[in-house]
Amino acid sequence: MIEFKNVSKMYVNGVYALYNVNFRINNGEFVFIVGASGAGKTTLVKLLLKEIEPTSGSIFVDGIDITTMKRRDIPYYRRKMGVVFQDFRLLPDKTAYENVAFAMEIVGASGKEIRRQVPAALGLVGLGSKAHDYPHQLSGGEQQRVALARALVNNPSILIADEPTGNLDPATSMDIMRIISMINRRGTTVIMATHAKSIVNAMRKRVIQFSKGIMVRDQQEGGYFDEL
Amino acid sequence: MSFRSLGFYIRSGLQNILRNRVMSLASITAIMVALFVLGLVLVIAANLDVMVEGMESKMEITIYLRDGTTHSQRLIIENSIKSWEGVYDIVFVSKQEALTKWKAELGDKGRLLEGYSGANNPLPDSFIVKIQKPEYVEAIVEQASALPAVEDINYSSQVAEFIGGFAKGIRIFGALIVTVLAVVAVVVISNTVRLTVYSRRREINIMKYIGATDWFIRWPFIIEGIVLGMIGALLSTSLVAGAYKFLIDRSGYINVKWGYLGIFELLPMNEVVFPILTISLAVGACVGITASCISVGKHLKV
Repeated sequence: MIEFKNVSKMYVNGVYALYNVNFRINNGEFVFIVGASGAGKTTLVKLLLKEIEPTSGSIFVDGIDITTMKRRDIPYYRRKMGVVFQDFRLLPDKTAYENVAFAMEIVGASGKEIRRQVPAALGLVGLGSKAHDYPHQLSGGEQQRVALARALVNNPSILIADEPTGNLDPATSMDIMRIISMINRRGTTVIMATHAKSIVNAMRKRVIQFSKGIMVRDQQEGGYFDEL
Repeated sequence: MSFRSLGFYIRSGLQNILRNRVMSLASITAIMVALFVLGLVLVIAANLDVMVEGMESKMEITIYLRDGTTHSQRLIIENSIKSWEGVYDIVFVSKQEALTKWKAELGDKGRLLEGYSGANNPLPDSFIVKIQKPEYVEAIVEQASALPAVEDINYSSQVAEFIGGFAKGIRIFGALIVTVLAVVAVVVISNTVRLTVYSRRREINIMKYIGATDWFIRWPFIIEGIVLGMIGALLSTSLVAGAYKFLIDRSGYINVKWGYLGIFELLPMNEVVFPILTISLAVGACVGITASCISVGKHLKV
């Protein structure tokens, strides 16, 4: 379970990126975070990844306040989560297989586990045949599939996706959404920041909307309304 | 750190080197050049040191005894001098020996001394005292003049001072150059490694996002630093060895041409190359580690 309690984030220029945000996400939920550019979506993702600290308020993940977490515990916290980004963030000098295997090496998995899990994860995202290609040899959609395989290979309880379809065409975007839905059906909580209206409208999931750092809507099975 | 992850660190460290060939080559070159200059200076310093030591060991003073000094008095004097600090050898030269030696030195004209043998020998008995370092000369001369039965003492205070000063100067100068070069090497190498790390900051960033610990990220870079440092050290040592071989060959030529001069005697090849290799490997590895740690540390704060 994820809970934001009175969370505000003010950047050094005095502007609030998020102001007094409160919400709760239960295990296994699928939540869209929507809003125009600069609404605070990315700040929210960065707070969840503990890349930045809130100016005030608390963020609880599985009952633990991550704002008071010690620096040396951060890597272990991040392992609970799978993350995908708009720009994929694959290691350019590692093959698709190695990129996914790397996430397992980080958690100290054995060679045997890695050889079993990595092909399974690549198969799940439909990329089994291109396992030994390097990122630059793959299309954007294929690179995002590798990133998804890497995010799910350690069976995270939360998947955080920051504009995962931002660089992809509509057809490829829908493929990626199918994979993310599948990951959600396996029990993983999904939090996806996006401004892709068509995707949000098609999926009919919970929507939390931000405008200029203020949470303006929290709606079950919502659509994306531009005008707010 | 488990054994399994050690394998992983070594593997990814080596992979990093191969996949970033240009940066690896740049690092190796920087390390090689810095260690090469350091190696040359060390070789020259070592040779100068041996040369100065040789000159120092040639320091000696002669103590002349009064005529009529008895055998037992002589032994007492000899034993007390032997116990003094800085004395490493003492040789007794009797008046007969002194005369014979003089005669030999005069060669053909040696017969000029024929009338002076036996009781007519004007030369005194003496001790030749060999002294470890020029610094001791003053004290030993002072102590010796206080001894009974000592007629006169012969030594060259200026030579002693000159050699002592020269040795000190060379050592200070050598230490200074070596220190400066070591610092330069560290700076050059850390900058190059910092550049390789900087070119991979994105990679470090991704690792942090997927939950890698700081040490998990650091280790491959450290191993990379060690390996690059050691490759640079091996190459620079080969260059130093080549240069030194050339020098030895040339010095042989000089000695043949201008006659044998002890001063031109260089240390043998293996006495130079192995210490240089050891020092270079150690410095290379340490610098690699330091540079990697400093450079990675900057990018770990995500």
